[in-house]
Amino acid sequence: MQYKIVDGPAETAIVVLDGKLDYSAAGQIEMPMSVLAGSKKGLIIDLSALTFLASIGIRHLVTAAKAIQRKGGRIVLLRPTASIAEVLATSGVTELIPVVQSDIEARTAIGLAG
Amino acid sequence: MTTQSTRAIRLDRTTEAVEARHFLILTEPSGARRWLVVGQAALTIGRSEPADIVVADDVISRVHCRIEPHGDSLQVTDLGSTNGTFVDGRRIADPTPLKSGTQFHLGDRAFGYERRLRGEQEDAETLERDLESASRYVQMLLPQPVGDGPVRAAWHFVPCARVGGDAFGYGPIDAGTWGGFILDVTGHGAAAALHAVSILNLIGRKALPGADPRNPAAVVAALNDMFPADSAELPLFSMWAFSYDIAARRLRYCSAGHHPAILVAPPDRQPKPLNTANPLVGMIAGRAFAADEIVLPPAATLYLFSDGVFEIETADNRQLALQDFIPMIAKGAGPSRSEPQRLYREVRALARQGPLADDLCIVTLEFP
Repeated sequence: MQYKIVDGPAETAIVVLDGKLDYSAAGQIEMPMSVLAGSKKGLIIDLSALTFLASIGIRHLVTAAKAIQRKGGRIVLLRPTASIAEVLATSGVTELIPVVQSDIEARTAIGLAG
Repeated sequence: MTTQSTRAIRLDRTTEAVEARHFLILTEPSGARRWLVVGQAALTIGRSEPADIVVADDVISRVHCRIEPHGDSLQVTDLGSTNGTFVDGRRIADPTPLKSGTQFHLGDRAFGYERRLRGEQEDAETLERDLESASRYVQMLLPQPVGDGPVRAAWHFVPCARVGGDAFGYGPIDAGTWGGFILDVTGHGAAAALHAVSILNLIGRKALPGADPRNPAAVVAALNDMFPADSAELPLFSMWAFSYDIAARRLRYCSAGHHPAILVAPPDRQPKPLNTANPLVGMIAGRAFAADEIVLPPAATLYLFSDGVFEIETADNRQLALQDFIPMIAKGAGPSRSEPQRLYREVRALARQGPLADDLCIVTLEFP
């Protein structure tokens, strides 16, 4: 899996995940996600190019979400494919982290003007 | 251990001969592993002599392949075997280098290759023995198959890394009720297994405060309260739990972050998914959990299984999903103690060579 982090204004960032988030890929993003959750006020996780999400990947999303939300920050999941959306729905992650379909909704969800 | 003594140990290791050795790791049918040193001379592997390393397995040809040092690593050459030699899931035609830490296959028999310093290999063998011991402990906690009575149960469990985060249990709650569950702690290996075992022990000892074991939603809610997943070290897990009123044939169930269990029953044996919309256990503090119920027809079978069963990659690089596994259930001929093994063999045949990506657990419960 490839990933890219793009810093945004007002202590926000977008994380773009591309490929399969399996057990070994989850090991790659654990630290970066932890650092972002500790340092950012808003995080957009772009899932549009994610093809597989293992439960350990869900674990890291939940850990990051709880950390950022505890500090009053916001996190949002952007544009998952149908199969990833199903995994997110089954796991109930959507009760913790909102899911949106457009860049404007994502920016609004983390407190940036559209 | 202080930092100074740790540093001293490291210095000792570097003053030993910095001797890296090549090790082949053979897994016996019992699960025990043998480490074999490969020196400078080429070695052949085969089913019988004159092969240098004899592994009595019908999938292996009499003289199957040759292993020899190649630069810093080893190289494997197939010697015209019947079932082939596979590296990275691909059948090799030419001499092929091996990477330390990976596996290669003779037919479907896996061999590991590790290049280690002498001390590292001893540590690895110690860890291997510890994992073997842990694996035996986990197996002791799992229930026996049940061949008779109002509920009959069978199972098949393959942790992908000797120990894993899948666990399950079942048995009578009282004279008129049975109960059971399957759970899957996110991740796998020792950390997930530790969490799975502690949850298993809590449920087994009926040590959940305020939770009537006949009420699966209350059991799941109690676990949610006891295991808030507030940091990365704490478990986050999915669960499918049930209680069964024997006289009324009523199954009450609560699933949390878990894919559906599948119910099949005569005459049509049409797979019926059963689940409830609740999040993973530990994710949302104070969450109430919903349950549902169904009256079971005679000769119904319930399939509980972890996602490691269907989240597999095939030999032709397809990623499977739950919808690919359900037809395998439907193909079953009816209640049978060997159903979990049949399903495992079907999944294993489809999956690419090598260990499965996640722990695999299949439990079948028959309600005659």
